[in-house]
Amino acid sequence: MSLQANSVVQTVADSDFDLVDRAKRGNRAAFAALVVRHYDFIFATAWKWARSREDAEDIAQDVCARLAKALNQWRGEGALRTWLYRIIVNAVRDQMRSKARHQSKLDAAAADPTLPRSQPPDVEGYGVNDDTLRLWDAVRELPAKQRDAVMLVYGEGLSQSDAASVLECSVGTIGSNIHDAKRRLKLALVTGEGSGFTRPSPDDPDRATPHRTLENKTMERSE
Amino acid sequence: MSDERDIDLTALKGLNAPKVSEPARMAALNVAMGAFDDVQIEKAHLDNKKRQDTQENGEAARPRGDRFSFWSSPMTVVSNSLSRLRLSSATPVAGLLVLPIATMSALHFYGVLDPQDAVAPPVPVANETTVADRANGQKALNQDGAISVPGTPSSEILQGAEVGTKPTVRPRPDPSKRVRPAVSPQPFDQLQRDASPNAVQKRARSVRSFSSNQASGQLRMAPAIGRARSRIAPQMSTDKNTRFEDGRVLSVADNPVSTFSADVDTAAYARVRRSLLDGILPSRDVVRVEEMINYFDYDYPVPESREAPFKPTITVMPTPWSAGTQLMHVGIKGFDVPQEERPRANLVFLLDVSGSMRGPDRLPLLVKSFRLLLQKLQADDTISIVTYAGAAGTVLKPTKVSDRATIFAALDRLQAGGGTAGAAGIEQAYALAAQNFVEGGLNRVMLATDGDFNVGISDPDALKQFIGKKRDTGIYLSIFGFGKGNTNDALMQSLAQNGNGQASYIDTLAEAQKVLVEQAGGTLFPIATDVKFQMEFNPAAIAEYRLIGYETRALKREDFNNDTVDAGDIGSGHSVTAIYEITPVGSNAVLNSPLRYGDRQQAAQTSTDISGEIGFLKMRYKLPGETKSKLVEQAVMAGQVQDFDKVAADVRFSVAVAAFGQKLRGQSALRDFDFESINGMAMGARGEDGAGHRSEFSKLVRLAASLTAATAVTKPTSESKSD
Repeated sequence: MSLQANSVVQTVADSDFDLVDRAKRGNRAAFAALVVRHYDFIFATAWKWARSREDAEDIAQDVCARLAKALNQWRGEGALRTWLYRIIVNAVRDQMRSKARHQSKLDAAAADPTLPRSQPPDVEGYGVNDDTLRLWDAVRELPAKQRDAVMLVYGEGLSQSDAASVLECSVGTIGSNIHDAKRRLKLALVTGEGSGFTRPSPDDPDRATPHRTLENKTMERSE
Repeated sequence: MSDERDIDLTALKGLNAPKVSEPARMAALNVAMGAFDDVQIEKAHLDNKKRQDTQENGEAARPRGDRFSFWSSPMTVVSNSLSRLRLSSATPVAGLLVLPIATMSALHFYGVLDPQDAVAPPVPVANETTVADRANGQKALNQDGAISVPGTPSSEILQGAEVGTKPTVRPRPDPSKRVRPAVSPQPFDQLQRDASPNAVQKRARSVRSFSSNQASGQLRMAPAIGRARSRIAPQMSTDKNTRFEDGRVLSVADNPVSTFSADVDTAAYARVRRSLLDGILPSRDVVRVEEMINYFDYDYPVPESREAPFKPTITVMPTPWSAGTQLMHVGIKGFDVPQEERPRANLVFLLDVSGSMRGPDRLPLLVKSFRLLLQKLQADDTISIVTYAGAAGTVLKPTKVSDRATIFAALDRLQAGGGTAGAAGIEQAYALAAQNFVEGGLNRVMLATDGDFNVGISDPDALKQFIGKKRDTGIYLSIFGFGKGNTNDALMQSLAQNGNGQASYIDTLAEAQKVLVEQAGGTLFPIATDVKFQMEFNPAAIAEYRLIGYETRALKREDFNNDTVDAGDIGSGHSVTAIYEITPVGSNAVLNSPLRYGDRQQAAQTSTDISGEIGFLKMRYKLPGETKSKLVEQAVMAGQVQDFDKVAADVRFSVAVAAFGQKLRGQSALRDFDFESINGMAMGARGEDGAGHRSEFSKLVRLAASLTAATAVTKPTSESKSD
């Protein structure tokens, strides 16, 4: 494109570190550059968790807004992506909680036909075979901690120690979460649907399924 | 359970997310920038507090540093980037330019246009959608009721080789989608996906009735999003603006006297700004030039006492935008009542909590704004809160400002939602104000709405009468407009006028800071009411004149001396500026040919003792609470013309704003005067600009220049500006 785009702004070439540094000092352009640069990554990650364009866009927007505040907490240790993952995962959890709350109210208001039902997952952009799809479905049904560990390590290809720093827990916890996850997944995939896996057990408050009330769950925010 | 090894999770690595939607990216960027600004403002407040604390402790004040750099930084970037943006119709743009111009300008505004991320990826997207697809999308859009704003879409009409002569309108990015998805247009690809008649119908229904999807919308709003504000507007706009024509060039021989009312409203400037930041040139009727000029604070000489609450300062200078004419500039600065002398205030907030107030730039911004206002009030002032249009009723009984916790709690409890039931708000608000009336104090109802004036009196004229009657009992009304697309500008202005109050438009927390904190005195404490101006020109010296702006404030000549005719008010510390473009007798810029049977003796009649005058200014005003007006007079002498560069900076700046407003209105006198010159004039007169308002102005001028250039390129066939 002959938009002379490369002459437009120098911020394009700047490192994340520089941009964060300038944004922290109040530079709007630097902050905008950061957001624009990382939006694709944020959206893609959110989408893999949420598997719905609408939810992923909600989450991504939420993450971008949180960035403004969270900037001051990033001390430049480690890659920006690790830090972004942390914000994204937190936003995903919050969104799923509020969705669950929303769903419970909708269930209560079921008599009102004008209110939307929960929408089926998107069908776009899969490009994966049925087995993978089933696996992915099952992963999304895992308790949040197990799901996040699996998604970070297998979906995003992070090392267990990076995943631990994203989720702010020990490497051991990641290991045991993945271990538990595998056991559950195996059970779910082998016994198939209706194994009780898709319906959550009542003692698991972090479950991401949309049919439960999670009103009393306090937010476990790390930032 | 030893065989868990055979669960192969590596397949998860192959998951690929779909393409990012550009409107969603822009929406996220806008929300993020809003959050960013909020953080900066909070920081600035904290800094300020810290600084005061250290000063009190006798330590040296901390350097101010770049406290306000969030104002200035985008501007410097924009100046570079915008001036380099050249869209030429001859440029072989690959395929179709997919980013809407609005998006591009927003990116430029934030100082970002990443050639890899922002520009390159959309091209393949364009190749995937065929012209037919786009036409379908267009159809769906129209059925959806999401028609673009009349007079503005030119910047969005994209022309490319494959489109041929048919322009394609793309949906504008829309952050409110996140908040109220059903009401706003869907991104292009989603539209295509669910353009089934059913879906279209469903969406059309939800467009008509907010209430049917309120529950879902409310629950969907994430807290962080609720805090942010959005810059890009919904596509549907129901803004109601009064149409008005530019003031004409009048011949002094026919119309020697010009009469108008003072106007300290500033809403037009905030609207123009919002429009430009959205990447749209504002429609003519939004641009009230005098409101743009009066948005800024000018350091005109201040009167010493409240008894003569203001005095005019008159400057005559050559017109920067045309040869042969001059500008007669009348600047007035109102007496600034010291905080400790201010009367006790009895404020009743009358707040619209209808469902449409749910957007982040509406009720949440309103709550934050009014929290800001509290810091400018004194401990024994009282606040009451009445809501209407959602849940109606008194939310807070008159409460002393010293009891902040109670007031904050009441504000925080406010929730938008519900239908339009319970509309009796206004009478309740005035009843509370009357019940708590402070003799000799300030009794004011402060109405905040996004345009829903369903306050209990549905007929606008009856409403005006009601407000006027209450004004006579000493209870005034100010109006604060929130949100774009639903604001009833014309009614807002005339109701405030009837209530001896100001109509302000608050689109950002920064604007709230300006209206409710920096200018709290002017907003709340009138020092003069029914302020009228009358300028008489001497036909022996001046052939023609044109009043810049004030078109909607014109008064009849005979109304000047009639004290029962209402006019604008001036608040504590307000400045008011009026500018005439005048053509001296004998100048070759005179437009009106002399009358063949004209009254030649009139000029000769002019007696010698006033022959040195080119005009005579009269002003009438009442002191608050009085019914009889006072008169101020001042002659304007000939031979006072100063070089433009020698004129006071504030005067030059106001002239630059006047030029900008007229240019946006398409005023023919400024056809050959470009935005660059306006910007140069403004920057040369920027002065200290502590709060950054003037730098922001410069940014808007440059944005308007680029948008105008882009419009000219994307719409080569019709040069004429639509209006």
